[in-house]
Amino acid sequence: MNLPWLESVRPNGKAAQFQARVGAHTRELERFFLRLHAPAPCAEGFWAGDLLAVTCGPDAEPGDLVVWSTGSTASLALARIGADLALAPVGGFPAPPDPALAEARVRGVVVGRLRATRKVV
Amino acid sequence: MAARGKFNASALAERSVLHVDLDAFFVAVERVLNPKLAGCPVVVGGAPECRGVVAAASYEARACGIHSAMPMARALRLCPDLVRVRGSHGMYSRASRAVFDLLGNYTPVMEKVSVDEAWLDLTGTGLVLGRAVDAAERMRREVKERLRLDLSIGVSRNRLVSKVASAFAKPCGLFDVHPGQESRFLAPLPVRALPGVGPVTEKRLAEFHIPRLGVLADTEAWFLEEAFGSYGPGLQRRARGEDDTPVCPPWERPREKSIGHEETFTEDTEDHGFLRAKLVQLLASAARRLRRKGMLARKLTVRLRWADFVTASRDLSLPLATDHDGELMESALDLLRRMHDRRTLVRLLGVRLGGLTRGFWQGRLDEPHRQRERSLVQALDAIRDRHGDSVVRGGEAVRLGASRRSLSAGFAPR
Repeated sequence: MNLPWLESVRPNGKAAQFQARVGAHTRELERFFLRLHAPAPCAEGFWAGDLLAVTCGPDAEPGDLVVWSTGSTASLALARIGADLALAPVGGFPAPPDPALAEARVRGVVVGRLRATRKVV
Repeated sequence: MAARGKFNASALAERSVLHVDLDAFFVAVERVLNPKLAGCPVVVGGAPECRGVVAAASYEARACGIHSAMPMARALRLCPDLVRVRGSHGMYSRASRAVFDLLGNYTPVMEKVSVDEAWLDLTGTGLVLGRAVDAAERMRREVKERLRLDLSIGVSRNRLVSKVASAFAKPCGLFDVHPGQESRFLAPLPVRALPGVGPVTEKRLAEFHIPRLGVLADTEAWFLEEAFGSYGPGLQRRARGEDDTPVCPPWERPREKSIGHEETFTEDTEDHGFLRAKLVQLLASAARRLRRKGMLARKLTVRLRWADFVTASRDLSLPLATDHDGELMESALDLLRRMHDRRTLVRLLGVRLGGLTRGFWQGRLDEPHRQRERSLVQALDAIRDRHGDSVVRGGEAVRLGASRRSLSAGFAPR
């Protein structure tokens, strides 16, 4: 079975200007975009091709949808922070690894989605 | 529909507001009429020999540095291949009507701001339309398929954030800000990205080292109030992505922007008790006018002028739109207490109710005492309509019966 995965991208249009401008300032305010690749419409209302707008910062809270990884770009995945601050996988993404094996670090909070590159027929 | 302007906190949390913007609208209509213009740098506007200016520019023309309001002669110098179209505003109006008629099939609660821009409130349509973001996607497709025009849409819980989001969705995109993430979405943006922040406010914020909305959102409230007066707290709320302004369809839009009463006293006073009583009376009159016109207010402003003509005003955004002076009283008196901080006689006192929407105060089913309060207010209005303002006075205003400080005959106590 194909698992969904996330790819770091630079969007077109105004969103691109926004991302570049932010990157020039403090890391706390940095934002990046990830394209969702999925074999089927994902849970949480996401579609394959959606660009997820992610804001970096240490202030993720229970209920937030976050992007985590174990370090490499290939390990980027989505999860929701539970009331016990544990990461629960969403949308067919893999569950975070056992902390004893590898540390899953939250890369940022998903604040929205951009559906800009989708071809409207 | 009448009480739609009045939301409770949970209703606010569940709102779905779309900001819809037609991309390069005039140019897009011209391209529908003449498909040969597709892909070319196109502008709509008057001839350069008649000192014409650019009314709209295609994205290809914008890439050459051309923008709206630029003199046409300069635009042609910047891009020699530029195609100029004179434009037909009648045609644009027809195209705009066609688009918004189509969007009106999704919700009647639509506030059109201009020929190419509108807010739509999809709150409560989940069972019929599904997620707001999916409904927005269908709108984009339908407009593209049926009218061959591109829409950019911002989706969020309020008007302010949807407006900012639609700007980032351009061209022909859709930006959905997740509920609860409004503040984080805005935080990295420069302060200028906030609608209503112009070059003057931007410059002033820069002087205080506030370049971004995240910094503005975290600044101490008292500091912003000192620096920007009554504008400060509202500015900060907006920087946090808080906005409960309702989407107002034409039939709910009042003619007036605000209703107020103010009074210059025959003798300047420092009697705080008298000022409180007068404020209660002014507020009651303003609220009664609101009720008479069938409107609700979302903003309360108290204005004070001292004997040396120094004037101050403070305002407050109300969590719920109301026309009931009883609900406004405590906030108004608190504003007065905070303003009345000079050892100078007071010359004038005023109160103003703003952020008006059509509707009437409606109690909740689980709050029967408020229904009784409503009946009382209506009964008092009827008595005052028949016998005059001063025959029934509530609370602090009772003490005005013995006073004759007022200049304004309309408010002179009997």
